[in-house]
Amino acid sequence: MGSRLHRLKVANFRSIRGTLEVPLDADIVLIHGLNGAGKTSVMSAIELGLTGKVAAVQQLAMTPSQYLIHDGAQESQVTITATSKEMNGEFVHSSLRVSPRTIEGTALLDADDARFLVERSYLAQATLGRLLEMYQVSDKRGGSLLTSFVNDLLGLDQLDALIDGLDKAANLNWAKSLVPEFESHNRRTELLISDLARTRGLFAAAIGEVHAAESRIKQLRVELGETDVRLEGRSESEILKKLDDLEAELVTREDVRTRAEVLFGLVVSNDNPRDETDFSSALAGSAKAADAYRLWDERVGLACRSLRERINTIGLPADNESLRSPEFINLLTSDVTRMLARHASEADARHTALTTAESLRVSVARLASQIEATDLRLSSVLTGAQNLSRAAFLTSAIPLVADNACPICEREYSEVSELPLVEHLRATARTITQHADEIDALQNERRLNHEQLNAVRAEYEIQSALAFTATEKTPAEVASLRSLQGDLRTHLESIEAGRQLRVVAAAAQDSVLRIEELRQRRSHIARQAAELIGNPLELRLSTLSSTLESFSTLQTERVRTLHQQTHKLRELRNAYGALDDLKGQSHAHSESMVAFTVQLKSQEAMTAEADRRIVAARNLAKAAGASRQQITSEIFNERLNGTWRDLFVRLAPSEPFVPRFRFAPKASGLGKVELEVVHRNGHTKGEPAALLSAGNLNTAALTLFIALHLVAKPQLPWVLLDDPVQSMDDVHVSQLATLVKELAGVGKRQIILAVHEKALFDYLKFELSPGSPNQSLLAVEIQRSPVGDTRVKHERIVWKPDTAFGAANMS
Amino acid sequence: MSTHILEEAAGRLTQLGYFALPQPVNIGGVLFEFAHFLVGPSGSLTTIVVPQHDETPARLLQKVQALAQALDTSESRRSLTLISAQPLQIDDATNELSSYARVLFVSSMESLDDDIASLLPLKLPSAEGESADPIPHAISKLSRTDAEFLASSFVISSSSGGAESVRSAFKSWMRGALVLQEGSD
Repeated sequence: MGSRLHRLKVANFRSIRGTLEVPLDADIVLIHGLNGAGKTSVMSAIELGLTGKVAAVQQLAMTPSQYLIHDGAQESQVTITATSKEMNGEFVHSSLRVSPRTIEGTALLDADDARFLVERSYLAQATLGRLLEMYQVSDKRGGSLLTSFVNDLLGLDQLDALIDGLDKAANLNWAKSLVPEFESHNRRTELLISDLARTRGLFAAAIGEVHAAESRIKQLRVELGETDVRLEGRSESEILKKLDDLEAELVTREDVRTRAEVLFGLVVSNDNPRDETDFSSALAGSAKAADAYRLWDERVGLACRSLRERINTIGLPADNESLRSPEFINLLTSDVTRMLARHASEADARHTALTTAESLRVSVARLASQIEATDLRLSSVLTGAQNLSRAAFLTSAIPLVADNACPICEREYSEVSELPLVEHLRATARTITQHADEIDALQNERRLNHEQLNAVRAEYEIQSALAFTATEKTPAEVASLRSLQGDLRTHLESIEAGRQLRVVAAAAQDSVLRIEELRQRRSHIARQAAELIGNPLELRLSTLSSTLESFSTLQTERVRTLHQQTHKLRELRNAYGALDDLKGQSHAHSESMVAFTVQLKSQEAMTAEADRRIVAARNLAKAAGASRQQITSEIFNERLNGTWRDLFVRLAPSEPFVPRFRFAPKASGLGKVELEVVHRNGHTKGEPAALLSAGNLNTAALTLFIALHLVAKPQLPWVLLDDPVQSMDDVHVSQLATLVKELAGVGKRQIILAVHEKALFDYLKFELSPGSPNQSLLAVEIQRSPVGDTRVKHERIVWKPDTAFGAANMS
Repeated sequence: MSTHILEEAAGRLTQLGYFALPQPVNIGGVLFEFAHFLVGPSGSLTTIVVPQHDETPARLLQKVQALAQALDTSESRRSLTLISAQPLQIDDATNELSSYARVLFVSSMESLDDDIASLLPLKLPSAEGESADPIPHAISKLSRTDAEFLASSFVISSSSGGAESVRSAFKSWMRGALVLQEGSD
């Protein structure tokens, strides 16, 4: 506040032709101009100079030349000057040059102040009629001018940010869905819960198993005959020692039992109730067989000596001992047999040689006779053979014969014979050759007969030698051999019989030995049994077997008992081990439970902390909403509606209905806002258009604008009203004048008020006159010269002491 | 009744800085007397008259007419306001009064301030709360525990950055709960 508009210089702008300067340095600037004279153009020029644009016409999307430059001009210029509070009252100004396409220059106000001017300080002529509607309309998101006003006024953006930013805090799950880490956190929590439940189950099961193991240990110790069945006091080494003792005894008992069973088996297998009888019979049989053998042996000894002498006589080796061998006897028999055979063969050979020699002698004589005959014939044939060379000669002479002449004597053969000489030679040679073949045959026959004669004669001499040189045995010698042969056979049979006797004797002896051995074995078994049982026992096997059987049964029972004890002791040992394991497991489960519980508590603490934060955030959002609702309600009811009502009642004192905003504020926003009018008594309500006149609708709009200006955060100390008195009656106008003076005085606003009616202008010039020396009023008239140029006429109305009431009246 | 209301109106205006001129008031040699003759406080050119209770409308019209002429004659720029009781019937005389003065009718004690609203000094809306930060207002609605708890976060301070900034701070704060060390609050 404190800045004041000082001067406007404008050229060729909108309906203004030419250049004019409009003074603005007064509390109230009253501007008048007939329609089209340039009144609204001056207001628009002020807006342009301050904001850099003309909002009301910019929405028409036209170029600057279409709506800002005066028709026929090349450009427009606007310069506005103001005093600046920030610059200690120094003048500041801005000049804007409007070319056909662009606006050059810098506006006097920054964007924020410019927006404030357009929305809160400058009520354009075109805006008044639709102001009420503008403040009822909201966009799809609920945003409206009113929302913007409230937010600007109260700075509710931060509350809205809290409300909107914490909207998910309304629900724990919604809020947590914003943070992905909660998903893994929840999974880990669920996993811990599951692990804890599972571990609790395992722990309970382990404790149950511990109890079961302890019960079983007590039971086993009772069964093992222990009187102290406390769980403690039994060391592993003790159990192991006892187990070793039991196992050692078990081994011993098992061994004894096995040996008893073996002995029992031996007793059973070696038992023979006829033992003594058999033994006597065997002894008798053995003696008899031995006697029979002895007799045989003596008899054979005599035979051997006899045979040895006879055998030696015929030149064969033999002694008494060897003659007891059947193999040797067989060899001797074979030798004698061969000797007999050789003697027979030699007799046959001599007879055959005699016969053969006689036959050969005859053959020699026959062959000698044949050779003699052949010699005789050969000697006869041999003369013709002498011509054999002649035949060869003749044959060789044939090729030399020519013309039937003899090649030797050269005489013509035709003189001798009619045959040709060659034929004669050939016939002669043929005859000579036939005699030669016969000679060869005879010679060959003679040679063969000689060879045969020689061979037969040699054989004859051999056979003759054989027949007359061989020595023939006597029949007595042959008979002796044959007798020996028969005796050897008889001796062999005797030897075989002796062998049987010896076998029988040996068998009888074996039987005796076997029975004896059996008797010794039984004795040994009995001793072993006595040693095993530990008592001198009767060696009678009949009682021994039952004794051993009883003993074995006893051992078996003992072994069974030992097995049971060992088994229980092992089970006890295992139970102790299992008990330790189970206690270890239960301890481990217990520790896991503690760990899981600690972790789960940590998780739950985090969850609780997060929930606490979310709830706090939710409470904050609620508080922001409640605060917003409360502040908004206060603003609307006490400030905006209250100020609006005050202003409206000032301008329309006789109007029973007053306008107001009716709204249902929400925590998250302004809520639905509706415009209504309410009777001053507060009972009757209705639509503004139905209950207010057109003039009062304008009054409602005008007062709403001023109310918004007054309620808003003060940014600019200016109120620019372009013809706000449309459809107002005189009463309203007079009230408006009072209000304007109040705004200028109490409100410390610089008011620029434009009207188009001259009478109204004059009236307001009177009504708005300064009431004190520090008040000022400028009355500006925009006119057109006869040639169409725009001109400005202004009057600065200063305070003058009012003497109407005189000093006496005022004292 | 009407006299009482008019007296109340005069008294109300007097309380607000209007002061009564001694009567009769002499303006250019013409004496005027009303039930109340008030002028506005310094800087104000408002002149208020309240008719006497027994004046007829015609007589009142004559007096107001004469008073307006007297002010004009003396080149006074004072505006004239007549405060009157609500008539049972608006007649021509009553309508003609508006040509010379602003006429304000008071009808009841309850509507008195409304009836004379234009005479009352403009009440500018209280500046209280305009610049007040709404955040402390919201925090004041929280429990002390929540307020202290939230003070340890950036949720509230992030509100200047908008809803997304708040949501981001809220998410960070929630995320921080998951990394609490043992024994942390």
